[in-house]
Amino acid sequence: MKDVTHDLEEQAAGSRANSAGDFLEYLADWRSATNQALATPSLDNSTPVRLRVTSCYKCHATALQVGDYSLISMPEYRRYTTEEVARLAKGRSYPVQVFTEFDPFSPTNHQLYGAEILAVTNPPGFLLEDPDGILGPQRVATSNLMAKIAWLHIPRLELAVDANRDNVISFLPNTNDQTSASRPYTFWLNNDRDSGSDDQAEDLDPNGGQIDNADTTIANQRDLEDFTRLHLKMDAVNMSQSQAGTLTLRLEWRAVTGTPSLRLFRASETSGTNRYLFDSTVAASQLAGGFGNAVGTVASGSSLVLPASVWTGASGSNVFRPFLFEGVSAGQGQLWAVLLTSTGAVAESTPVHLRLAGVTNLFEHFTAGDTNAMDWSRVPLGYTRTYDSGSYSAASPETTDYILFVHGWRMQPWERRAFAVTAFKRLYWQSYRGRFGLFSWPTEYTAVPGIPPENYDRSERKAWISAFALRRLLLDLNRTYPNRVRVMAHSMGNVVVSEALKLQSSRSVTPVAHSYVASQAATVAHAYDAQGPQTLETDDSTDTPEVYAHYPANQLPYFFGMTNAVRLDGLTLRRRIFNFHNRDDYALEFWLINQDLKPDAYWAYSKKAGRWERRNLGPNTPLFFPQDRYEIDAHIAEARSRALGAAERDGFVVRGQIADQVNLFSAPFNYAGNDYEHSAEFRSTNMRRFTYWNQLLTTFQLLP
Amino acid sequence: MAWTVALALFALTAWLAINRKGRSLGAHPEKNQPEFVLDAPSNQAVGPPSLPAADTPPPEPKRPPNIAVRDWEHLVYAQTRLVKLNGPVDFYARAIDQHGQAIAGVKLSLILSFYNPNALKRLANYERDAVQEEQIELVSDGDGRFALSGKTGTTLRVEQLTKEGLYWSVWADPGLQSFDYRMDRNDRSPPYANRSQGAIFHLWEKVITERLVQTDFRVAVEPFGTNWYAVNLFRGSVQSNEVADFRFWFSTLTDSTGQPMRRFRFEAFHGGFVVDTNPYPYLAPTDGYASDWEWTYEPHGRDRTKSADEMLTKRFYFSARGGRVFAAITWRWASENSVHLTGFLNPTGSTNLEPDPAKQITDPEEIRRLDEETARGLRP
Repeated sequence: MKDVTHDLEEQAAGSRANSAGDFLEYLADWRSATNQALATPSLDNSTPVRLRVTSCYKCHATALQVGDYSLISMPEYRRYTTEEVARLAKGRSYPVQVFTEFDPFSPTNHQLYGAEILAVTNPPGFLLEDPDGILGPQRVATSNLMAKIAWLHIPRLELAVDANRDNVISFLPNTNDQTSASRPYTFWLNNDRDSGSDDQAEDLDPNGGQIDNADTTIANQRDLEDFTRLHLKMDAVNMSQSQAGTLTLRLEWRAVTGTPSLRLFRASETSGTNRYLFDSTVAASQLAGGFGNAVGTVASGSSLVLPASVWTGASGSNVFRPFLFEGVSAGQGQLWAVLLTSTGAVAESTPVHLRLAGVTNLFEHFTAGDTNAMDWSRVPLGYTRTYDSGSYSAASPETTDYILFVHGWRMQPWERRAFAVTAFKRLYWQSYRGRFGLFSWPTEYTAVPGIPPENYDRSERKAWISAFALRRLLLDLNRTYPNRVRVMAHSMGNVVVSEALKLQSSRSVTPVAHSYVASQAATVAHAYDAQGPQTLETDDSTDTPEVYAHYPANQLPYFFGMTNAVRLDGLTLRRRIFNFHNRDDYALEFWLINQDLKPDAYWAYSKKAGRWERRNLGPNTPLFFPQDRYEIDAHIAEARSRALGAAERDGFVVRGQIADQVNLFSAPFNYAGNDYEHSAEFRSTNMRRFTYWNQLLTTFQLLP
Repeated sequence: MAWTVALALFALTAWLAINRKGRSLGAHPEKNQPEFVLDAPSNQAVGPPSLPAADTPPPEPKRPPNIAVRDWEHLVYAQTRLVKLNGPVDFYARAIDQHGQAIAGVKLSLILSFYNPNALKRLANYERDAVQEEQIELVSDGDGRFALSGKTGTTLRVEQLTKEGLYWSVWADPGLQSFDYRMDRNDRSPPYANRSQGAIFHLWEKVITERLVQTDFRVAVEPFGTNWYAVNLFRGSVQSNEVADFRFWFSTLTDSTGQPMRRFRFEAFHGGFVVDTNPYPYLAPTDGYASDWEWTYEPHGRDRTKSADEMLTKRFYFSARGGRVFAAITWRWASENSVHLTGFLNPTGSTNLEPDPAKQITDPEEIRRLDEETARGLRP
């Protein structure tokens, strides 16, 4: 069978029938076959049109040929009017010709005919270009009728997003990025406040000023993390008409739940890749030259007609336009593209199903205290979900891999969310398809670290106690996602996680975590490995005895045995606990000084009595291991090693409970000693810091 | 009643006195004479290079009225400790090419970090001001030498090392990305701070490149299995030894302390291995190849300095197919169940393995043909 849908260019180039006789002969041979072939495009990729041919009532046959599809009226068989519905492939322009048996010897004997192309659907799905007026219900044949051509354009409009998150956006017929009402493409609202484009860039308190989607610009490179791609492709649409404004394109929401709204920006890269997230040069170009200014907003009930300037530079009849968009308000619905003329809609795309949601609704948030002002004695031993937590179910589209993040010291509730949100987003941009959770705990807050100095130690005591709640959470998560729960803790959050794993290992040898990454850990390196880390003070000059490398209860490193709570790695033959460290970490240098400033006011170690003490109005209260260990460790006992997150230096290493390490000081991470680099992976921009999140997923065995 | 009040007042006074002592920095032996003045120790220069010389100490910061005296004391103490970490920065290095020849005119871009003695002047910006950076550029002299002295700081980091026509990568010179000058570091006389020694930067002078095949594939392995895994350098993992260039195998054992360990064995067909110690991965040796190679991975062994990734990554040169093919291969156990092999093959019998993206052989049909041609006569 002849594949006529691929012969249109040839048709357009002139290999058409040259005479009525040829044409009728041609019809006799091919009509059946070609029409059948033309009728085969898939329903999704074709448009039905009604073809109608009418002859004058006497004897003259008339035929209408659309591409290779033909329709003929046969007066001799009393078929004066013939109609058929044909399905024509979208994205193509078909030459249209009318043939009739014109009598050259009786030119005044007007021969009337009708040749029409009519809509079947609404919108019709086609555009006619008929400069010579050969189409219509009643036309007069002329001697050169066969030399005249009209054009039938069947526009194909396509919208697509990276629904399967493989970084490639595919259009039909490749259906990798298909969305549906039950599996919409979900993206977050841009309701944070990003500041800056350099390494000091960070989130600001969203309640302290205008959020990023309240204006119509892309604020900075960090803000680009909150933009995703929307690709538009149009075929068989005359670009000169679009540029002239006689053809316009409208984006609109349909079938909405809630009030979804998005704001559209042109992508600076004509190829529409996602390099705006990974390449600072591309990111900078996205902020310049007008690309950082919105094209417009598509809200439910308020569609957006794209300005003609969007089509600048396009030519011919096929166009590809990459856009970025940010979520403005929450909701779910179908996003459609509609092609319009002055008389109304002509064609429309298949819809993209989108869901826009507040980012904190897209992951889970468990807490042992969503506050900065909780006394240590009130820290609960169990966890709760926060008011703004999302929740996963068995039907959630995410895979059942789970990453749990635990924050560090000096985080206000909004900052805990901001760090978790940044982690969630940057993992998303690394194509992480699993689930994500935040465990928050009631660390205190102070504007200037070190003032007051006890703020840190009071928080550490709460961190130790919060481990009970975290252990319960890990047990529950591991029950739901067996052997798939990965834990990542930052700074003092490692006190919480390490103690939770130790608590679990003292009760069971069944692992509750697949892997644990201790990032920039503000915990005592000696507590994991008595031999590896450098011992900084070996004499009695320090105030308190050593209790971390040789815990008084068993003379082993304090966290000895925590490995049992983590899975054994079949590759390295070690339990999967990893140390992400930076020898130059500024905060951990401060951590060391804080150790030297212990004991805190109201606590002491009596060398004379060999006793740990809490000072009171009356006699001092003696403190003992193990029952008072959290109070002693937080307020009295000095470490004699560096913090775990800065201990690998000068040839000293931390192994023991630690399986392996990642040196954040070296390439490609290049963390240095500036204050903001203690939290570098949460600050700065994705372009600068994505290597950290890529490494995290690799360590978690979530990337190849 | 009065007696009771007097007793209570006495107790309160005594308690306050005790706690005052406990809270004082004097409780710490090395803090018996707290240094609230951020002046420089006598034996070193302190302060950013742009500031006056060390004999002009920065002014003593004043306590903001809203900060408690004791809190301020702690902060000044911490700041003093940090600034004391700044050490004298003397840096000496040399750039040489693959022939050991000095290279003049190499541009070395460095970033010097140092703790800022004046950070407490603006308490609101204290964190941001505490660490400062300075960009430094050096150019090698006619003898390929770089020299820097008279600065103070904590870390010197290499940003770039460039000269037209030369490669340098941190891979070629691991450990030469940054240099530590902190006063509390373990090594007080590192080679890079010694004029007569210095660091050596290896640069590769680009030579005439040849057409190479880039190999990049994974071999699925069973972590506790006992299988052989055969590898064809052109095709990746194969089922048959007859079309393989080498095969590897590993077993899981226990060491003398009962801890698990692994032994790996590699066997070559029509060729051999040379474990790579050359800083340049671009030129294979012409001889010295062994047909088999064994090594042990001891995760709980004495060598604590290497990460598992380092221990489970091997770089080697491979001579294959009776000398018709030379290759530089990185073998890395990448995840629990896959080994990743990357590298370059020269299918002409040349030892030149310098990659050149413009000359890379990428056509699968040509690669298939080269596989067959180089194996002709060797396979049954």
